[in-house]
Amino acid sequence: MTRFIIVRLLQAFVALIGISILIFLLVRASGDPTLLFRTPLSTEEDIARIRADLGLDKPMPEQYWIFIKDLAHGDLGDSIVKRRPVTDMILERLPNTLSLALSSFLVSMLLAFFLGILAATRRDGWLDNGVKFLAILGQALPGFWVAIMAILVFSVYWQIFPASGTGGFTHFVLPVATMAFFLMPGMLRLVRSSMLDVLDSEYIKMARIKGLPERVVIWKHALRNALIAPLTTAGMIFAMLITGAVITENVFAWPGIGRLSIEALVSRDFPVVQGVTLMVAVAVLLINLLVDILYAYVDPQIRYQQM
Amino acid sequence: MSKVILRVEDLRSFFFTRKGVVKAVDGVSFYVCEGETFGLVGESACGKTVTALSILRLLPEPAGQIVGGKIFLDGTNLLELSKEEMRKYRGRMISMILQDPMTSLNPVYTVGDQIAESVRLHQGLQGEKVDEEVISALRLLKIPSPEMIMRNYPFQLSGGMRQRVVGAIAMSCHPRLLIADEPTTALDATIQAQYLTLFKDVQKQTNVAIIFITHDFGVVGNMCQRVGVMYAGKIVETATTREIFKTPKHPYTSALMDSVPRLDQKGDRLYSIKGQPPSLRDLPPGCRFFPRCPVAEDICRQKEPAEVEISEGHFVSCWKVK
Repeated sequence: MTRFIIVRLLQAFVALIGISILIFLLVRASGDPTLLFRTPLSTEEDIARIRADLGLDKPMPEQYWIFIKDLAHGDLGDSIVKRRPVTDMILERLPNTLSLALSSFLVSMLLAFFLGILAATRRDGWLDNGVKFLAILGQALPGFWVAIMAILVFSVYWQIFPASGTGGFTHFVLPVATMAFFLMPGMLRLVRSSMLDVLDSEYIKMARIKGLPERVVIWKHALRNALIAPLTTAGMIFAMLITGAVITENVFAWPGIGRLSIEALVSRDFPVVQGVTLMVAVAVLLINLLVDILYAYVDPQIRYQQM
Repeated sequence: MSKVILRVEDLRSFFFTRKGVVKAVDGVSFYVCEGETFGLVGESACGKTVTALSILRLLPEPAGQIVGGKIFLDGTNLLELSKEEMRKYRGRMISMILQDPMTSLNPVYTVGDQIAESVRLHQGLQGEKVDEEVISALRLLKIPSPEMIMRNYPFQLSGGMRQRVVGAIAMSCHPRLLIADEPTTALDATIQAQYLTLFKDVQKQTNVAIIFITHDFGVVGNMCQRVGVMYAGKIVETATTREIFKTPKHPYTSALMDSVPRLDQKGDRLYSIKGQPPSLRDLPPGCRFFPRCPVAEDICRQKEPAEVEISEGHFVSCWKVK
């Protein structure tokens, strides 16, 4: 198992180098940042000076080396608009995004697994049909509309929960509920169909022949097998959440990474875009690593192939 | 004759589907004695497996229902037990081996875990005693180095070895009745012969009664003392294996025998029974075999033949047999 993790870590590291090169090149290919500083009064010398200040006059390999060296020290450069270190800006927003991401993830995944399994074991019953209806509703209604409706009903009309910003527990309710309503259905359907597949299998029949109580058949024999497929999707959903729920954060004025990246893109703040993208990439890599480890834990076949 | 352990009387199991009622098992009666192997033979979809699942009361509900009959196991009518009582019979009193060893073991638990689970549940053992029972179950099925194999996952074993493990699970709690549903169909020929020999040994050691479901008369001849031939949800002929081979009475049994390829007879084509078995949703009013029967008469079309005992222990349902 240790070897498996070490190999995966090395792979992640190689991927990270590739990603850093890609981000480095793409940002430079997307336009000349000095254009942002140009005023009608700027002379060629001014531009050249800005260029030198930003280090853009150096050859590309050297620029990349500087980028990597700074990165190793946790320095992502300064925001062009805010004139502040990008690292600080991200770190300042990260707790907000993480707390929102984690709570929405837990709420939606727990609900999805619980309801999905219940629906599968009561196939075509009223619960199954109700859950399927809910799932279709959640997938069909766009997130931003649900968010606005939630604000209208619960903040404006009934005034139970705050409409925007961060603060106490009540601030979480609407964003988390909106996100869960949006994230749960896909997962729920995946868990339900994965569970149905497993329940049809011969080893489940075998478990019943052994005289095992139904709860052991479902929660021990079926669940662990049914977990394998939805695990990847759960990892991807979590990675997506870490990068900031762009729409939800914007509707609820939630000061997180999603909102930061929108602000940076709109104001063409290249270092911030670069920093956020890199952070996202690292998060995705780490989560994939985690999913791989979980996989190996759940499915012995994977565990043995890797070692 | 030794003690009758299972007696099935007039069992009827139907499937209620949107397109109509499928009479998968429609009045099946037979018995199995201690230490005996009873063969249940017939084409695919003639109701063999449904009969087996009915005995375990594991039909896929709500579509599949046992609608009539009695199933006595050692004197107790299984159909009168509560669900919970029936569950406790499964694995302990009755066990079953499924056809495909590649899919009938849970891939994420070790072999030992899957046997230990039954042992703990039905024998109430704990700790080291469980391991001892697991190892003795593996030994019974002649699995080499059981201490090692029990730590393996199913995917680390070959098909033949897996089917032995399935057998070990089935036998782990010393059941009175074992149902083997085509346990060798998925194995290759050499492993098949080994497995069958192994089973005879297991039976000698444990005196378990076996219902052997198969479509292979070779296996029947090798394994079974008595045979029931099933056609379209009914047993049309029951007799000792010897009699079935020597003097098959029902035209369907004879036809089945004739369709077994033989090396000592030359011919251009293999014999096959003309036509298809009737749809179990829409059975003909008279004898079920009538549309395909070479010797059918008018009465066969109109009335269903009753079962008659033509010699001791030899039952046939056919108008032409007297």
